[in-house]
Amino acid sequence: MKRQYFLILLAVSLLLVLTTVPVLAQTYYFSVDEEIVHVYLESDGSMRIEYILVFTNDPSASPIEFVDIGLPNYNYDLSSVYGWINNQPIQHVGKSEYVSPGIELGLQSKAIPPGATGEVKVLIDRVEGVLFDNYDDSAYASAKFSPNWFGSQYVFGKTDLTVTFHLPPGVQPDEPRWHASPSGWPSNQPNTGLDSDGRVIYIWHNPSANAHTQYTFGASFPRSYVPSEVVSKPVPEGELFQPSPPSGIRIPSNMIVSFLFFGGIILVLVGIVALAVNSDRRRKLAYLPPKLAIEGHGIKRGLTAIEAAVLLETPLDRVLTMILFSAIKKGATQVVSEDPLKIERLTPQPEKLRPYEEDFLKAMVDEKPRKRRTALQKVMVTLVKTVQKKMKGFSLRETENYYQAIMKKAWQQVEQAATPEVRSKLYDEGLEWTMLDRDFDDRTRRVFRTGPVFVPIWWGRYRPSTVSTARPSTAVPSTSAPGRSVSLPTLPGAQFAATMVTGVQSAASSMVSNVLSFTNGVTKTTNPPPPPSRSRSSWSSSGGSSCACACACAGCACACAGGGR
Amino acid sequence: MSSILSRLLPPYEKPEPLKPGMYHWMAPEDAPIPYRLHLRVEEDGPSILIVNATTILHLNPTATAHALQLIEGASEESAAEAIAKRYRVSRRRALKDQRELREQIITLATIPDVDPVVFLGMDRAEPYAERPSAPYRLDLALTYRCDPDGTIDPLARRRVDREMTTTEWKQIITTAWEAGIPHITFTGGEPTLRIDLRDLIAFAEEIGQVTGLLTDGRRLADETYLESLAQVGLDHILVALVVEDPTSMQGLKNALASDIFTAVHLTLTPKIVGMVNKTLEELVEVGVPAISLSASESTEKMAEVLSEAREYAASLDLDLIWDLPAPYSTTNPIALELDVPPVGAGRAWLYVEPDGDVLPAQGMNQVLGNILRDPWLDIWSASK
Repeated sequence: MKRQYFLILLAVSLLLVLTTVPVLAQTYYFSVDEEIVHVYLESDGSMRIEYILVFTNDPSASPIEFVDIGLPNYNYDLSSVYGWINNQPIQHVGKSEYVSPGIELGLQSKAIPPGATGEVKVLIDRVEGVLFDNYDDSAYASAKFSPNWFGSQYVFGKTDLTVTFHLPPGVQPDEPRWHASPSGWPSNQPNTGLDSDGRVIYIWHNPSANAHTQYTFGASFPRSYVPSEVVSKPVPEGELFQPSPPSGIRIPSNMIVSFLFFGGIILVLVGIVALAVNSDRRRKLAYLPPKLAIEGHGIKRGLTAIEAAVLLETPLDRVLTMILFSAIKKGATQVVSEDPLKIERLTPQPEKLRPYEEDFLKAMVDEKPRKRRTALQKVMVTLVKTVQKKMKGFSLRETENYYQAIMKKAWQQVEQAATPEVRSKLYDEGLEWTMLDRDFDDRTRRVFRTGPVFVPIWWGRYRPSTVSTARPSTAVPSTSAPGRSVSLPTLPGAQFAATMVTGVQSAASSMVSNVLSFTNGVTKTTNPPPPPSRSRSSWSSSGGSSCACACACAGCACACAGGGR
Repeated sequence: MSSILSRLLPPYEKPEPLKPGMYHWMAPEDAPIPYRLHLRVEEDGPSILIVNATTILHLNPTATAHALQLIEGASEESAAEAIAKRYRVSRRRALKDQRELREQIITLATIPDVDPVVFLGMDRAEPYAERPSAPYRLDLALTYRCDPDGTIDPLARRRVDREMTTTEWKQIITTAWEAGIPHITFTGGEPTLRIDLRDLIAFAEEIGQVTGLLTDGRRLADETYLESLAQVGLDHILVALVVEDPTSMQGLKNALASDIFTAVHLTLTPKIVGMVNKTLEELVEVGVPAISLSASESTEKMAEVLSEAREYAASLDLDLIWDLPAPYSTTNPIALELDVPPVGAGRAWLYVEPDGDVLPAQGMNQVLGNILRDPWLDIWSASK
């Protein structure tokens, strides 16, 4: 304890001396208005990093003379690092004295004066040793990256931050996997697309980020796209791509002159304190963030599209519509009235109806809206619980990605079909999966904007009123009767799409008039109460939801059934 | 001055590494939901945390140090202080991490169906992908007798010519605990035919192990007997239900009425294919919360039956258990649906026969050694 008192006394004394130099405490203070980072993962396993940083220096601060940028590791070539300030080349590029590993850019005569804005661009052409074994799948390699961040005492305001990962050339769109966005990010997943070279890109964007938080982004892709020797064994989280101390902007040299005024005494005191602190640090072990990994299975395969819809938190009215379509396609029911929606069971009933289809058909028999609503809620409660049971022990995130990929592939096949016949057939076959798409309505309209559509064989059971308007067509193989050919009627594409979309919408609203209220009735049974939490937001990736399930909150129209162990 | 300096700059000395071994924590009796933690600290600091004997977590060294504070009963504040003394981290940050880790673990232990990756921020590890320093569970076949008449289990191997004594079994349980195995399952044959079963359960529980029982349930029809097992702390029962035997069903009902977690195992055979759904419905009616399923044959037909049974069980709100030492345990629904089924035999669990021979798992006739005669490490190495 005596030693502690001495240190406190020393620190207080030092503080008293330093408070006579107020200018020093205000030396650097700036905002990073915009930060754009491109991370290129190259075929040889190296990483190319491009930064654009827009600084606004506070009017009361000193000029920004140096910018230090942290790097993922020491495996970079200083001669391939370039910088620009306001599009003028930066002459002084060197190893940072303050950030390790990192580089420094000396702005010299182009220092950003107080109150001014300057744009700094940096290109780090090549960093090696940045790929690691994927923790979840040995066939995949992973890269993680934290963009430069600054000490919170130096920066203020929001930062419009965009980080783009460019995956190695040749990686196909359905192969890579993104890692979840950092906590508090607007979306849990990045936007995806292709860059001008046709490389798959993941884009994370947050207009309200800040420049003092370490955000980590990551992606995985099949390791076959890079040489095997460049992929290292995984290292614990926290050792990957984390520039050690916060990067920063250097104290300007003119301030150092005033600092020297206090000369030897302060230096001696500082030296003793530094030695004591260093000695204390050396006695301690390095602290990596605590990390827990749970043993569990990956993708839960074998879910039906309707079960996948529950998993993907599809609005419940849409899920009910999917069940209706499923039952119609199987020949279990037909629509007798479109508005209000009434259906009747057909005989004989097909074999092997799913339990939720059986329950749905029973529920729809009741014509009293309140009773039917309650019965449909029970159908959904059972369905959600069933999916919960099936998912137990499997990865929610990986399974969600898997079914999203199936949905995308179903659309892709329809969109790429060479002829109207094939397109109609594929649309029919993949309907349950395409209905998982939140953009189902618009996409259906886009896909069938032109050309005729060969209406599916079950169309008459779904829209008896439109069958009479369909024109007979040439013979088209029927999907339900192999070996025979029947004539299926056609509809103009736009009419088909409009009928399909409005039909889905009206079926949904007819079954569930108030989606929120209906959903709340389901989720209060299916979703557990929130775990007790003091710091929920720090470990939840659900954007601060107060429930254990991302979508169990009142006010959203879905009911999730994720994971568990 | 020199004394000031020596106090400011004491001799360089690194903290002692965390002591490898098994640490055990049980929630207090007044806890709303009981739970149990076993922390197995490995050499160099990482650890495995086993939650309620079922959920396996891998912890990095820092997380291990935090978890150890929890298991040793330290308050959040004193845990943070201890961490800050040991590591280069501020007390504030240590406190934040300590709180988060507690929440993660306690949520996992007490709230079902919360996805640990999405909602608790954990990573996922492939089951049994890395060979642990010791198995998570040891299955003890106390006897190969199947009924009071002494009929030998047809699966029993001929060379098992004796049953170990109570003292010998206790020695094995101790060996297992010292090796870092937190979970013991008593199986057979029919383990309830051993008159010392209660003693063995009590012994294992006393040293901190989780205990389970795999039985046909007949003996549990005797409520007094069942109560005697509950009193010594038996944690879970898996009843390998004999569908056509009312005594077996009665034993199951008694077990369900007790406070011991009880699940049912059904071996699907061609003979009972037509009655699987009905049986599952009956099990739900009597209150069974979880089911273990396996098929007696690995044919395409039986695989289909198994998958359908699994689907139907889910629709009945039954949890699925797939890794307990049940008959034909390798042909289970999880094994059917994964491209590469996780192999727990010889890694996550081992199986001890009535004479002490150790096998990777029930039905895998590869003797790794004898647990009474051979050093544990030799046996464990042989299972690689």
